[in-house]
Amino acid sequence: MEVSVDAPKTIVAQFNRALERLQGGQSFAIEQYKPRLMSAVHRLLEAPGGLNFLYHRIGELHEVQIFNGSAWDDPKSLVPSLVGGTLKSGGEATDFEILSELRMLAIAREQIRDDRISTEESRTFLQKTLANNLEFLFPDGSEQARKISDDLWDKIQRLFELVSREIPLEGIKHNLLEEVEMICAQRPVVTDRVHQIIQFVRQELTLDPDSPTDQSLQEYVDSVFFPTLYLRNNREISLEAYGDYLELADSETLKSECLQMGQAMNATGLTSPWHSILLRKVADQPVRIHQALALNQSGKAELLEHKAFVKELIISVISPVTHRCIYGLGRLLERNLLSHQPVMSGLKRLLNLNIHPSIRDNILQSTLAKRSEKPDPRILLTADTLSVLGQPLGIGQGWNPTCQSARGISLWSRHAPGKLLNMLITAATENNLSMRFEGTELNSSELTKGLAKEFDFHLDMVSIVLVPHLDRIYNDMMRRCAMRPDDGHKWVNPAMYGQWVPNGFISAYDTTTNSIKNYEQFVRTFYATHHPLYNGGHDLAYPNPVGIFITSSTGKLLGFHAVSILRVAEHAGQMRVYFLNPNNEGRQSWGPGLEPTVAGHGERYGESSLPFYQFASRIYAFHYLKADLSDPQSIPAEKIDRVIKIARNSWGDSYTWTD
Amino acid sequence: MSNCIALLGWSLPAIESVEKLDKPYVVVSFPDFENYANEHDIPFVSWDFNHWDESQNSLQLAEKLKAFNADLAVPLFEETVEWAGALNSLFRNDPRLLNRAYLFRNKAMMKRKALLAGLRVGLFDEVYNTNQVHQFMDRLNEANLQLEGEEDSWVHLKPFSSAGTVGHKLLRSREDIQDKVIDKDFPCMVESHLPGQEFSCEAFIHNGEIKFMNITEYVRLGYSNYVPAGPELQEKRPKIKEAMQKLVDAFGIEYGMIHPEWFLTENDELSFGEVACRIPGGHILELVSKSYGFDAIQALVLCSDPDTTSEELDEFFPDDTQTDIYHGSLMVYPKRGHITKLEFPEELEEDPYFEEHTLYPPSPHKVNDREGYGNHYGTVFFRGEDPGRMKELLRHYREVDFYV
Repeated sequence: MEVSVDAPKTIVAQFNRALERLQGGQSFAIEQYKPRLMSAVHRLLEAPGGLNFLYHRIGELHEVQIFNGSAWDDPKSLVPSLVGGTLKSGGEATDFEILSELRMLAIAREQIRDDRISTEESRTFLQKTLANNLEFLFPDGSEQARKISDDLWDKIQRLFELVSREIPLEGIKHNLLEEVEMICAQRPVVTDRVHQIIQFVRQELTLDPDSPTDQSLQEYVDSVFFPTLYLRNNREISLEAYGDYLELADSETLKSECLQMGQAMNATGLTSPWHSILLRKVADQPVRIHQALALNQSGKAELLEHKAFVKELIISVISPVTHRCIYGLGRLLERNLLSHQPVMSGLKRLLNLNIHPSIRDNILQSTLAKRSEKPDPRILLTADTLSVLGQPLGIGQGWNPTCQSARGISLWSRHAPGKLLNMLITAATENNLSMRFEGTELNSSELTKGLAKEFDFHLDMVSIVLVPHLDRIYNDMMRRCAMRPDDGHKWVNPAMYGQWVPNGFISAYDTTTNSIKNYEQFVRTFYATHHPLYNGGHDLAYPNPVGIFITSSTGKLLGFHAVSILRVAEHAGQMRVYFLNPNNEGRQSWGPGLEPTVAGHGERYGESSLPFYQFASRIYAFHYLKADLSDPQSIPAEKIDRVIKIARNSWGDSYTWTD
Repeated sequence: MSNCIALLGWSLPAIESVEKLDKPYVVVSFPDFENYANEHDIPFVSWDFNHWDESQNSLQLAEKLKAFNADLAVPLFEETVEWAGALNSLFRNDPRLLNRAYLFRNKAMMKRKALLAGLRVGLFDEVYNTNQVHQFMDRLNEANLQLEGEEDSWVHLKPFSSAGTVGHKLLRSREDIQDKVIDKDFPCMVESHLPGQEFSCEAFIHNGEIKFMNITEYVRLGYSNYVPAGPELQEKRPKIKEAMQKLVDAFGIEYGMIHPEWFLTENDELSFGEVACRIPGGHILELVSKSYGFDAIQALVLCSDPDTTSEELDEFFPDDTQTDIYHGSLMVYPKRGHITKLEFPEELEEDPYFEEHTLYPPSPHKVNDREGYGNHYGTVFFRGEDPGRMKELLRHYREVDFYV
């Protein structure tokens, strides 16, 4: 079948010629004709009809082994969550990635066969890819901030249109439900992505009331769009009209609205503009606030103690734009943080803060600000501060390589909220942050850029203000340790995060020789300090910043990452490590067989967890309290050997080992 | 017929062509290519052509090739020419083959040989330091009867043994000598500037006889050329062929392909530039193959083999005076500094002469300074019937920035 493509016929001819040569040639000739083939593919993908044209030719491309020798060779080893990033990278990788999806599609539609992957598996792959990349299917207001060219965006979007046309969207319902449930289980501060998915479900899918999956999806749709019975019965009502309705409502109705709204939020962690309208209406009725925020007893007591200030916060900060901080406000009250004087005075200062012009500019670049008609940086910042203080484990690093900074903000929010507010106020007013490192004062405004070269503003406001400064300071501290014979984090972590980080430190990675040294001793030390059976049953007092190896789905070392151990506890007969992964996605795979979970294994909101031995097999550095160190030799050898074996067979392959 | 051909150098087009000849072959190249060769079942001997000592020389290489029963070496790249000479000397028991190979690898020796044969060459000399370059320019200025205030005569400085334009420096004045010449350049050759239109010939020789000859017209050295040459040069074909045969005779070339560069002056005089015996740059063999309709790399292999019969070759080669389709190539180099994207002109895509291209959007990075003509980013191929239009297009698009 001929497919028309609106590209010059010379380009089509170039494509045909190169393909013909490959068909007639030997396997080794691929490298020789690839440049001609791929430059034609590149051009075709830019032309209207080009994607379809290539989709119809993908069988031939597959036959001449166009993917041979590339990262896309084996379709079975591809990872849906990496598709989006590769597509955005531009250049040849994008074109190969698109061809790879076309191949997957052709396999799923049984147009071509590949012995390595079944029709079913390729369909699942594409469904997961769709579920992972809803931004391409349903572009939102953050388009401006996405930092890729319009041409590239159009190219990617055309691919997703094709895939979603060919792969029934109904089939991704359970992926979407799982995605929504797992995101909600992490109670993130920034909820745009989950809102986007729920919005998609509402607009694009027909839900069947008899299917349990569909019912659950419907509940999420309701909690965001129609969180009360009244709203479900009046689906077309405007925010103003709902306000008018509440104005006239009797106390029973108000109570019922508050209880339903609070209950919906409590179940999901999600809020809606309706919620902000309701809260403002009941701002001087503490009982109703208590219901609308679904507070526990401790939160209720806190609310009653500080009702005037809570009212002030609601009236000045909470609006249909900032509604996501309602959940944070509730959790903040339950943490009794307003009774902590530095928090109270810090929040009061934030409400009247004189924000530095460049910080204002940064805040105004955020997705939240772009959603407001007249964004007020002070209000946006205060609103998100409520979230960050209420949900310390919901802070994420966005697309920035700044796990250290996100980890710090989370730690301070939990254990030093006053310090966090102080830093925030300083950075916001002076556009500078200063820290001491071994007696030297470091000022972020005097330092060059940190790890984040181009900042992703799809973050909460606290991170937008603080991360650029923290990142530079962290980077400079590490630079100062670069020539030392041990991992720089030994000195940097305590200096950067504060006295909560114990001074004992051990690393398995020898920076000078780029090798793994004394690994057995390292693992024994980890068990002896962290495993309750061997450390005398101590709990962890503070989050412990640790470094881990991340590997590809085939076990090859990809790089380093920073997480914090929060606690170690037994669940269903298995000892597990509960930790914070600051990368927005606590389910990030750490390699084959190491899939951290965020729910179902005793995790609290925002925690990830892994069995103790699996976690142990991925860390390369951690801190410990020297007093906690019991006898490392008392740990049974088989436990240690098991960890060593996993380590050696995955990331360990990339290093030499010295014992 | 030879038993097994040893291809010296890694070239996928060459491997593909030889594979189609259906003759036993083995590729000799740097260890970097070994994995790829093994993956694709390409017979392979790993060898570092840049390293030579008592334990790593042609005797050892010949020993390694014994396993393949190889008895013919074909050089594909400049640095493999003397290795091929040495191997063929051993295979055919003819020591002079190695000496002949050196002729191609030392540009001063090459010029002397040409001079002895009565070919017209410029004034040239071997130099060992900057002072001698100054002295050379002095003598040249003197011979050109320079008067006070007149410009210096141009001098070209070339390394003895580099391929094409690598290391080539044009010195237009004494200041140029000061600024451009460095100690590392020495020893090398200097020569006077040869006026005239530059072109190259690709001659396939068997038993000392030119079996096939193409003339390639250079539109701009290192950037663009097309095949066959336009009518102005083709008109001189008998004269060129005569000079070519003279060169073949003088150099004692019996088998293989040579790729000399010539200059044709306005009063129809031919000057000899230099000659190489390997695959020419600028995709010339590909253009030759397309214009005449034969596989030029197979031709190279067949001609290199003394056992190929004259009849076989007559059958193989088309008539080298009969082609009316022109093929051109334009090598694209990005300008210096940062480049971020590929802008391929729409009117070029639409042009009936545009055939295909290998340009690709870059990953943003800085373009380094080039040495010689360095590696180009990609090539635009043209095809058409009017040599005038071909030349015009090659000239025009040379000035276009494809990468911005």
